[in-house]
Amino acid sequence: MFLLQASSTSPGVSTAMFIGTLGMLVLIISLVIFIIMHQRKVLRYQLRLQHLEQEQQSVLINASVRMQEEERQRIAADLHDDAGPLLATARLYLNENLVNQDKNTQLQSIFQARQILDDTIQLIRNISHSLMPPTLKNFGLESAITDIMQKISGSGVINASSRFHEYKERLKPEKELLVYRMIQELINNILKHSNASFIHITQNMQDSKCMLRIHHDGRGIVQADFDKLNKSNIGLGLKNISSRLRVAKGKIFFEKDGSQTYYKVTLEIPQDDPYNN
Amino acid sequence: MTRTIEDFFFYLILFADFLFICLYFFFFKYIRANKNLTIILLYCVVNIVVNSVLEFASFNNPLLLYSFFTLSEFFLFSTFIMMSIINTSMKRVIVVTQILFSIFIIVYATYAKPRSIDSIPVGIETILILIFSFYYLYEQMSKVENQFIYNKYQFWIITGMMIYLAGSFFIYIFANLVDRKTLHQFWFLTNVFYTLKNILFAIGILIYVKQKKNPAPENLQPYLN
Repeated sequence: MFLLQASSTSPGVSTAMFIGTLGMLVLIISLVIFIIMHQRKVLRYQLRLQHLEQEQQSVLINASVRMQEEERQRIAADLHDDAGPLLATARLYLNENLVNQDKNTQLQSIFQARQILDDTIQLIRNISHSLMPPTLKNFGLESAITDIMQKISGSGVINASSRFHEYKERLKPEKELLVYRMIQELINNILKHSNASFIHITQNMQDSKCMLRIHHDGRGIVQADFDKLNKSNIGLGLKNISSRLRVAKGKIFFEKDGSQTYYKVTLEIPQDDPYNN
Repeated sequence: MTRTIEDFFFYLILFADFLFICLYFFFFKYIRANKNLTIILLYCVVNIVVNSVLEFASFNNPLLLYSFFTLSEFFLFSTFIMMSIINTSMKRVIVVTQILFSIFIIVYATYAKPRSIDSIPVGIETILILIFSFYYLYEQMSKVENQFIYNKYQFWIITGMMIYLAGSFFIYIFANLVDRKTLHQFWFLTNVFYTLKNILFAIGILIYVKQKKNPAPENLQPYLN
């Protein structure tokens, strides 16, 4: 390293050495500074993204907790306001004075009490069904949605129908329930806000994804409105849809048809992985 | 020899390698599991041995020693980079380059007759190490991580290598074309870069030890990984 031998230097070589060394140094230092600055910029952007993600997560969790509380309140109200008075009335008919009454009055009281108990059983069954629809559990998503559509159509106000084209293989029960709740929420919204004259649901498969499309001819929202509502403090139902979509690893798209005559909501649910239980 | 700043750097580089070695053994309990730093330790030892032989022992054929040093330097630096990058294809490229470069050095040492130092192998070595270093930096830039690049000890060591090699590149390339006096003037710069490299290596080792003493959480951004 230190043994150096040379006899003469050509003119310009020293300058070339100096400029070359300086240039290389500038190049390396600039590169290192550029990489540090770039990484800092990227990290700052990621942190901002993470912050937004956390905010969104917190909004969804709040919505989910609120939904649970509302559901509990509804069940409590149903039990307290409907089942409670019915059972109290049945108890009145079957009070201790009944043994002192004549046989006819006794039979009438027992008959009345039985009627009230039947009503109570029916009421509790309705509450139970609203929590977990038996059709969905026993016959699957297709039957459960067809059931809802028939009930809506039966009112005679809206023409509601559904058609499942490729649903030979059912989704997992928990995923079916998630999809069912999302469809229920979307239909509720259409019934409440859209003033539509028809609702039509179709299902088919596309790239191992279950595609559910809801068409209606009322007032609707587009994707930008959905994103805006999702970030705001209003639109609890839509936030619940977002939470459920996260669990189901699905996507939702709100669009207006090209002819501007109807709205389309597309739910994209990935098919279950057979190797992932 | 007159006492100038050039002389100061000349003597400084003789001891610069000891800085890393001292730190290595001082923090040995934190470092012993790290193979990357052992490579740098080996490099510093080779440097000391080669410099001592050239300075204090009479050597008939210094070209052989230069070639050995260039080959060792390339081999150790490229292995360090290879162990710091993730891409398997690039690791393979480095291994192939090491083999080809070794063959080239053997041929060069056997047949070439340079006037002072082995400029061509040093030039090729510099270009190759700079390419590998750029790749490391590119990989780090593309990776989504929560850790700043300058919090990694590899970054400091590779920056040290790049500054030393890039700074000395033109001086080594033109070493056979300039007279002894001019070369001496410029040689002072290589000593500066050499010292700077060892300081950056020392910073690298200190960063590694600091992280070992206070380990950071593995991942602060679960959504981004």
